[in-house]
Amino acid sequence: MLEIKDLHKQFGEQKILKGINLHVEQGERHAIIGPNGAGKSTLFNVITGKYAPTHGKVIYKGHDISGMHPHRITRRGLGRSFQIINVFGDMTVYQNIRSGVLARNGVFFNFTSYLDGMKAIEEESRRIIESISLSDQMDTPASEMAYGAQRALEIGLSLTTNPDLLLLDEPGAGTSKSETKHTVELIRKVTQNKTLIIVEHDMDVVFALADRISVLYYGEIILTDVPQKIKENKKVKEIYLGEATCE
Amino acid sequence: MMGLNIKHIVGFVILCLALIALPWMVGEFELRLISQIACFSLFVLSFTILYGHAGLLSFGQAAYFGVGAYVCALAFKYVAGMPFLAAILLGAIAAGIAAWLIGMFCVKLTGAYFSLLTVAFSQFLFAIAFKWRSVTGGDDGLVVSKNPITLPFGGSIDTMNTTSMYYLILLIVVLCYLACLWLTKTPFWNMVRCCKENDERASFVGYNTYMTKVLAFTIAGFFGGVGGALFAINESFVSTDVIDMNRSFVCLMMAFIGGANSIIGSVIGAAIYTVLTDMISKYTPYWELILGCLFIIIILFFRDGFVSLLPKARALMSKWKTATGKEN
Repeated sequence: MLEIKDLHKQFGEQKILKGINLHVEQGERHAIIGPNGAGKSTLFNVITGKYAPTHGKVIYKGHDISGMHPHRITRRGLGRSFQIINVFGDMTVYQNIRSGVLARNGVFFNFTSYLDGMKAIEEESRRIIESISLSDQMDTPASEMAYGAQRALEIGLSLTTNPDLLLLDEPGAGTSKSETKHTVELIRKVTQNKTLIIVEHDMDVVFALADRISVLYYGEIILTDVPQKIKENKKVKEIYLGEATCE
Repeated sequence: MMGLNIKHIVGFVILCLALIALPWMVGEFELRLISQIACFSLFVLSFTILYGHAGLLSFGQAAYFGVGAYVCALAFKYVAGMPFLAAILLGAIAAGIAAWLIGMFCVKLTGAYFSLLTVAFSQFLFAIAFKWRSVTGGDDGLVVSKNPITLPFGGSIDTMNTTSMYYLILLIVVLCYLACLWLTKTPFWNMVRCCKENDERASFVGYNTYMTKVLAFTIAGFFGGVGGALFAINESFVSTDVIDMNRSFVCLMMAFIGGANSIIGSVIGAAIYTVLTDMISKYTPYWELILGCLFIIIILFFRDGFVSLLPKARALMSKWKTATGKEN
């Protein structure tokens, strides 16, 4: 599904990614963990086209997508969420989701249709809103919602494009324990039959969701393995997890 | 459909009837002034579309108003028997093309850099109008020698007649406003709105934000061009005044006075500015100072312009009605 080959990213003299190699199978739930500054978000940004790689390739479904513009990558079936909530703040939940649904249906430079009269788009939008449990806040502007609800909308917006591969950047960031539990359930529910790559600091979320985990350390992947093996790995314990978390 | 109710339709019909009856109610000078307001409304609309809807603050909208005016005037000058409406369309299309070309560079930038580049291109077009005297007449300007409009079933409309011109300008301006209002209800405009709200997120739901903004820029330029062409026809004269920086800033002032986020605000802004200029300049040569003060007050206290006062006025009216109803 996704193949990353010798990926480098450099900003000026600073090398952020130093030759990442990663293979993600179809249907897999893959987590990327690592300490702050390891390059996790940069890796996401390079995969999804926000930054062009300095060197190396990102192959998605057999096509080289490295350096492609984000909208073209998104249209190929790759969706993402952001670490810091990144929705259309002044739009309502419905308008947010509808915008994504319009894009997924290829409704772009349409000057003749009446937006509020597009029934199929409306139905699809309502279905997605229901799946992220925000039906009761359909007409609430996104910026006026509680943090947890905004997180759900962030995930919902990533789903509107019906991606085959979903990249979630710290979906549990800033949420309480109970909200995190809800977020894990939500991710599990909405990513059925999808491939998932998740960056997360909260180990409960990572071990609850991931089939395999890659450990990123200062721009390099030092280990990729199943959660149990990662837990038991000494080097991982030293650099990231800490003994207390693993016991 | 389109959120319209019977109140809106009745209101629109009454407004149209009032505008049709206007030539019987005011003198020729006032009628010419109202035609001018209509032309400026489209000019301001071109700013409002960009700033209020697409989030792009252009300081150089006079470029497209000017291109529309000059191309229309030149079409009458150089093409024998130039059809009247074709000259207006030519001006608008030329302005749209200019906006497309300039927009391709400008929308790559954001914030202050975007605004400054719009100024640079506007000044570039001003320099052409100013220096290319053999074609544009430089600061001496060009007389617009309009041909009469030949009707398909015989007869013609006198284009030198103020009333005929008023009706023609009114018709075109109303059609442009209806087209613009329709545009804001389409999926394309949703993309424009998404780009304004959150450019990055718009890209990540699959929108080509660059092309969306270029197109919004082009559409704004087109409407500005229609306004310019109509202005040239109304004044029967075009000079570098239509394309200079002052014109761009007057447009900006009109937009903020009316309400820079509102389509209807563009008409209100153009009307208030034009009428005040006419009224105050009769009494004092320092009229610009007074308008400047008004602009400062609006920016400080009514950022959404006069259009934002309408709902407040409506609420006051209904309060007053309720109060008088209780008394009775």
